[in-house]
Amino acid sequence: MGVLSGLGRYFLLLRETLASFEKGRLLYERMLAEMEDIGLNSIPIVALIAIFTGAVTTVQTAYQIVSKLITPDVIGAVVSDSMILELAPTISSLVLAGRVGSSIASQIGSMRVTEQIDALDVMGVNTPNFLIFPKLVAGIITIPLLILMAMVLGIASGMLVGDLTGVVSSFEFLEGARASFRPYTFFFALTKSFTFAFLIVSISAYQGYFVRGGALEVGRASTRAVVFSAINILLFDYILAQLLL
Amino acid sequence: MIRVENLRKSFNDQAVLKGITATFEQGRCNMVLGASGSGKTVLMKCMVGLYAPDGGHVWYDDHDFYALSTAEKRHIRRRIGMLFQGAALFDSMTLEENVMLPLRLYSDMTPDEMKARVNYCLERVGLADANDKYPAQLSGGMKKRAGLARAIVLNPDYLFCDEPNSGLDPQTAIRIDMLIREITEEFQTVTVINTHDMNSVFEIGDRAYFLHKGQLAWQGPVDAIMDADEPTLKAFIFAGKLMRTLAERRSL
Repeated sequence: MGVLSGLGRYFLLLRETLASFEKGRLLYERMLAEMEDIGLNSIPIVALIAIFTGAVTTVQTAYQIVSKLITPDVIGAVVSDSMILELAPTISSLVLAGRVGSSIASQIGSMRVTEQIDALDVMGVNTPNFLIFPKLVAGIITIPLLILMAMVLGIASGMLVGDLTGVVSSFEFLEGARASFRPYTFFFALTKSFTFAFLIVSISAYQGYFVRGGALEVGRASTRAVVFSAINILLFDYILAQLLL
Repeated sequence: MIRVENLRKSFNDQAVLKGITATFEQGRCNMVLGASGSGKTVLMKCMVGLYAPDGGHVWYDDHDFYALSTAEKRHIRRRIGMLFQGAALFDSMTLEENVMLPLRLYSDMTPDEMKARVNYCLERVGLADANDKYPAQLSGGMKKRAGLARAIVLNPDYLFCDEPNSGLDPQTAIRIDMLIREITEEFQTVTVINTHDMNSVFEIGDRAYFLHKGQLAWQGPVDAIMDADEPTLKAFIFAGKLMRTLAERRSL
């Protein structure tokens, strides 16, 4: 019953978010600020994780390939496919659920407990639209771009590490990556990226918006935002793989 | 005019408002009195639509607020200014941005006109040079004044103030009270003020509404408070030594 009513409130909040729009200029300005917060400020952590993930995947793949019958370019194919299909979208999204999700939930939650949302309500503002819509659009634009960046950096670092350690030359790595590349894989990864972006922002905003109480509850909402975003990312990762692959 | 009729509200089966009926007149400071937990804030939040009441009506002139559509309610709310207990300024915005927000949302003013209006309101509340300050850089009294500037920037017809001078020193408290009084008279707003500060009541109040355990135990002109027979009101007013001494001197 609790889960059902929670789901109901979540979908009602989404409906309110898209129900009536506040002034475009204000939403646009807020969206730009959110793009900086969600997107630009997440570049270092996403880049760092992508670089190490790509490097480790190359080393581990090389370690697992022991047969002389398998040519080294397979490492390039495995690393690039893994990065595009799973590692960049899922790992980046899990990291973003922590960084962005907790920030959104605590921001909106603090506004709730300090009556800032009430103040907007009294002004006649559609608060879900004013507060959540710009974050949602900013997330849906910037998170897939971050994931795209993670794919490129992961593959590049894998290639570089392969070359530096002598496991596979850059040429062979790229040959393998090029040969195994299928546009549909890329389309699938993008679909996942948009879905994960929507889940992270909407779940975290929901957790923050319905906070009741004080600082302790804001902290709890922030934790719930991360946990539920991560669980849903993994759940939808499976559902999308089952449906689209 | 605002009129509430048989307003009822409960939380988890605990009745907080037990059928409040009252009329709040235009151009007057209507003081809602009561101890902490008497239901003042819940009454105010029901009146502005932040809490949906379990029963009863809230009339804004001829409009039954809770019978209106969401869009119509928003239209009424745009005529409401509210000063919250904690000021509720937006942390991420400067004072100027805070006060300008209602104008940006609902007015057709040019940026220069908006700036002029914001400056006027900030000047009015004594914060003329604080445009670029963030709420975190302000004292409690300054926050309240900034909250008041934001509440009046759209020239509201209805002004609600929830404990406007709680936590402030007596001089700042009186300054805020006098500001509210001036605004009420100048713009002929229906002003509803929640307070438990008797100084405020006598300083600026026209009419008082005393809430006790969710019921309207007494209402009448402020001048009549001292002579009221209601025992719960007497216990509330004369809880302090100063008021008891004043009453004794008055009766001599």
